[in-house]
Amino acid sequence: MLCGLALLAACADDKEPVVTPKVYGEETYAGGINGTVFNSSSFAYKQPVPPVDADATLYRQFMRGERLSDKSFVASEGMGYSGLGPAYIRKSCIACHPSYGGRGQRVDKYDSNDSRNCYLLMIYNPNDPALPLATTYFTGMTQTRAVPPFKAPVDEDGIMIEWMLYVDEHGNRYEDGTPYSAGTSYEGTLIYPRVDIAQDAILFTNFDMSRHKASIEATIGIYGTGLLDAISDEDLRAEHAQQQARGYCPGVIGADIDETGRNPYYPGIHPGRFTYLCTRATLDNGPGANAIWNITNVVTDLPGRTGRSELYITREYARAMSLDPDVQAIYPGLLPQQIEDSLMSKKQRPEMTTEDYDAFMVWHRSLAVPAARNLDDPTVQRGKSLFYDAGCTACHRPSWTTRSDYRPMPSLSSQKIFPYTDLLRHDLDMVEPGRVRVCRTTPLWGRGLMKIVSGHTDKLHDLRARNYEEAILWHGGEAKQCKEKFRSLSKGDREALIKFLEAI
Amino acid sequence: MKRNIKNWLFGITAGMLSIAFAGCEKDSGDESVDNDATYKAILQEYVNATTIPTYRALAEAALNMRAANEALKSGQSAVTIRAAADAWVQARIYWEQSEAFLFGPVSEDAFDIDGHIDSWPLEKSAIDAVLANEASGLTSESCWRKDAEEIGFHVTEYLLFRDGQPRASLSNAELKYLTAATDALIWDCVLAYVAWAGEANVSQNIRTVFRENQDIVDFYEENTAYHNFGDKLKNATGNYSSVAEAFGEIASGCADIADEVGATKIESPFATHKVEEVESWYSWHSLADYEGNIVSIRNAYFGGRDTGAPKTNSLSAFVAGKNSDLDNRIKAKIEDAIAKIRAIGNYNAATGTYQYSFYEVVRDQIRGEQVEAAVEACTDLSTLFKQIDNLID
Repeated sequence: MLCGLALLAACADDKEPVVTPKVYGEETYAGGINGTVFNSSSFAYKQPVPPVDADATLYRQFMRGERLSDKSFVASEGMGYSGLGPAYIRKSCIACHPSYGGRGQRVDKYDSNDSRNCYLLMIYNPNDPALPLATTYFTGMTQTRAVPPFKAPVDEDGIMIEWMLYVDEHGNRYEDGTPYSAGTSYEGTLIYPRVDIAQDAILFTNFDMSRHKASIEATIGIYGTGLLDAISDEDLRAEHAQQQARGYCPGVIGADIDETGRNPYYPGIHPGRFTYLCTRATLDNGPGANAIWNITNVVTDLPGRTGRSELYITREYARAMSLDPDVQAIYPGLLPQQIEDSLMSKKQRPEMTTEDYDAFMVWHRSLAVPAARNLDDPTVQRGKSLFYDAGCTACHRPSWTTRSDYRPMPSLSSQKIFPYTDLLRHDLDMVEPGRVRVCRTTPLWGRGLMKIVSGHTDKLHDLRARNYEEAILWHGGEAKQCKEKFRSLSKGDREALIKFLEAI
Repeated sequence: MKRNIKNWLFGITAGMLSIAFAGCEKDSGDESVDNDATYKAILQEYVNATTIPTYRALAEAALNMRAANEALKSGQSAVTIRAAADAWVQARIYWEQSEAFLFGPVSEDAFDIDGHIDSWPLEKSAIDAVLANEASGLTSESCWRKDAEEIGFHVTEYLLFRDGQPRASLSNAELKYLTAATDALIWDCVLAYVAWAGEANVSQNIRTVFRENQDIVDFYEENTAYHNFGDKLKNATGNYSSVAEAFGEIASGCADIADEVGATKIESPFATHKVEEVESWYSWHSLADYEGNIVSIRNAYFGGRDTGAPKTNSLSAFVAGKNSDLDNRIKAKIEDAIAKIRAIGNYNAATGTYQYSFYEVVRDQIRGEQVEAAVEACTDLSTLFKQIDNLID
């Protein structure tokens, strides 16, 4: 500490603090000392962690990475952000991650040009919903856009989203008789989405939609993911083992994934921990590292990184396009088989540099967690007790300590963080959950700021919950006891518990 | 260049002390009531005298683009093209002067007006395809529904300018595209103004324009969280649960755009040597854009618009009362950032012209020292603004 104070005294220019930062208890530092930012404005989810803000090189990479996340990629050549398509899901990261941690809104129509729509469309096999649809027709996340003359695998006009009413076994009322979400325009109701796709909206004439299902999944926040990545596999496996031994709420750990050739820092086998279904293991092969490629179809050619110099399309798609006269017209002199082979080539021309990809990952890894707020408020403290008493922490594990040697960003090592997740999957037994019946426990840190950032409080994987209250009330299955305890609380106690959630 | 290393080190030190301090946090009690009154007075000034007048000016300037286009369609000449280009520049200036408050209605979480009117790069092949097809079937309404990369400021700029000068002439298809894209731009600018001020508080003329396109009205009606946003901000209602949260938006908005001007708008194109990264490069208006952003910060900090000195109820006055050193540094750094941005282009104050456009600076990789100095000034300005959070209880 004395060493630090001596350093403080030595500096005096505009890069140095003029104002003495306030001091708080450790739980206020939700992302640990090095991963927390004190900002509770609309910009709360956009800030770099303090060590990156303090390092000239990392800061510039962070800002470059932010630019790459914000910019739309285009199909036109020579525009700086070229390389979009041929088929794609969105043009930019920010299209689905508003403010990087805000969330989209419930929509009735799947229009990827509507900034409110941050859903991904999934077509899946109802007999095996947890697996990405590894058919020869569709990519795991369904593409609904294409750069002309290419055609989209699914025409958005044929996607139907219907919001269904649901009444639980209690008639959507608390034990004290109060209707759920009392005082709102939607008092006493619960809703969930049903998605269907018209057969004629599907590009592939021999794909039978009636034997498949579709669902929508909303994106989640990016902030704090570097800290979650910095939790060791050993600690994650220990949490899993502990849950198997305890006799209730046994979480499902993500399948082991071989990251050799995909993660330069930690090659080898790692358990999945990212995405709703824990299908991604480390940040360097995580949803973001892949999305910069598979959402936009911008090809990267990274030394030591396999599989990213090809297009994110299926063989069936390549074949269908090779037979399309409009596509054939832009490949003069090539036979359909040659067009198909060209599209499926694993040596596509790189469209993003290694430097840009690295900057993108610095940004991704170092988005800070907003500090918790009002933890000394008596109502918040009461809510915390109720949260613990109701058993919520069985899955929403309050804290972890990151590994001591986090190689991609050493400053995120050894941080005591408060994400309120076990990084494991649990069965919440929701009605029509789509693919996500057994869902990863969502981190709760920073979510209380969503109303300021996004102007709404929609929650859960498909945004069926319109507020914290409904998010809790959709907890069935393994978490049903917690829901029932919440239902039995007095109005004041229910509000206190939610105050706590808003604070952390 | 080093960032706020000391702030971070202090954070570590604070963390080490946290166990000793835990439980000793001050009960703000009556003090927070006093603070709320101060914050509300400043927010009132910020909304009434800075943000809403800026959006009104933007909406009116965008409408002037429509008038200039009408004159252009009546008869193309150097004069009418110059007038249309000048109208674009004036609207552009007001937009840039609004970028210290890129939250609320204009943000991607609300109506995404920023993303819709200021998208870069352009999907040039799609634009050229429309032009090649004589802009057949293109209407103002269909234009508003196009992808953001095919409309907005930079498409209208592309149609009006080349190499920093108004074009010699526009084809019929280009005029048609310009007319439709300008209408789409106007509607978005008017939407920003209406959402901040409330539909009941704008002029009849603005209200009429707002209701020209039912799609806009429907889009607006579907997101009530951002209706009359100025009132919600200054009274800390709607999305805000405390006055301090609402008050924090002012400094955060300033820090955000200072970072963006320095480390992305200026640094990114120069470091990557890509002229395509330079925004507003058809008009060569980039350096004026960046200066407009710093003016936006000054307006937000001082209150009002172009007041020259802080108003009584301003963020600057608040900071001065808490820490005059920080206030003085921010005021000096605002002027320094403007001077450093001007220095990139070797600005001549007497003529109001630049010797070099930013496009040329990036293309020719010249003025590196000046570029570095401007980036550093903007970054320092952001660092100073980020400290204001520590003064807010």
